[in-house]
Amino acid sequence: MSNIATYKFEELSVGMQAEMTHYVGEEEISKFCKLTGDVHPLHTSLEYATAHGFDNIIAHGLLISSYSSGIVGLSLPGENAIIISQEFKYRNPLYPDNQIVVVGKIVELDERFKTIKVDIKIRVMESSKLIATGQYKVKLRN
Amino acid sequence: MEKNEVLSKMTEIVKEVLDLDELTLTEATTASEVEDWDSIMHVEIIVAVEEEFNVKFSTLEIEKFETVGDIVGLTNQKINQ
Repeated sequence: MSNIATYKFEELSVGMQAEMTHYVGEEEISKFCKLTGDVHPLHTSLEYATAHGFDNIIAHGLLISSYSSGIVGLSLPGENAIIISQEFKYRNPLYPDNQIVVVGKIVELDERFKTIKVDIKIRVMESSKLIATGQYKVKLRN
Repeated sequence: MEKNEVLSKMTEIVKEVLDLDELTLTEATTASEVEDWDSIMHVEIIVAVEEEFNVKFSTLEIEKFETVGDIVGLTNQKINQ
């Protein structure tokens, strides 16, 4: 339970941010293939991916999104979080061997239900290219 | 708008939020009588009702909701104000 925020609803405000970085390599994509069974050739075959307009194999959209889970579960709000819903849009492909930066920002609080909305932006660290945007709706348990 | 129209629209909202094919709501129905209508889904249902009818409920009003009729009645009152 170390390094996990324990914010209560009253302690949160619009504009609060959290950031995490992750490395995404071929091993991560391969593990996600095994974990989910999604072995689409865009995620497994360099030959197939390049023949279809990509520079390399690409990471699964849901793998990319999953790196934002810790923003909510560990930081905004952390321990008291229950995710109600989430949605993502994918802007650019993510190729292996990239460091990504995931930034979460509280954009809305609803004190009636103790719910918050957290916007997510996921970028490639080196180029700042936007890979995905999303939003979580989260209920606080306290 | 008539109360039965609000009830009819609210039934469609609850069906959509809870992903139910069949559902009959009456004014006497309570959340505990409807499959999957828990505290998390309650938030989604109330917010969806607010958006559909362009109304806003206060914390106190939400806390007083016990039956579908309570929600329908207050919604109807607000949209006819």
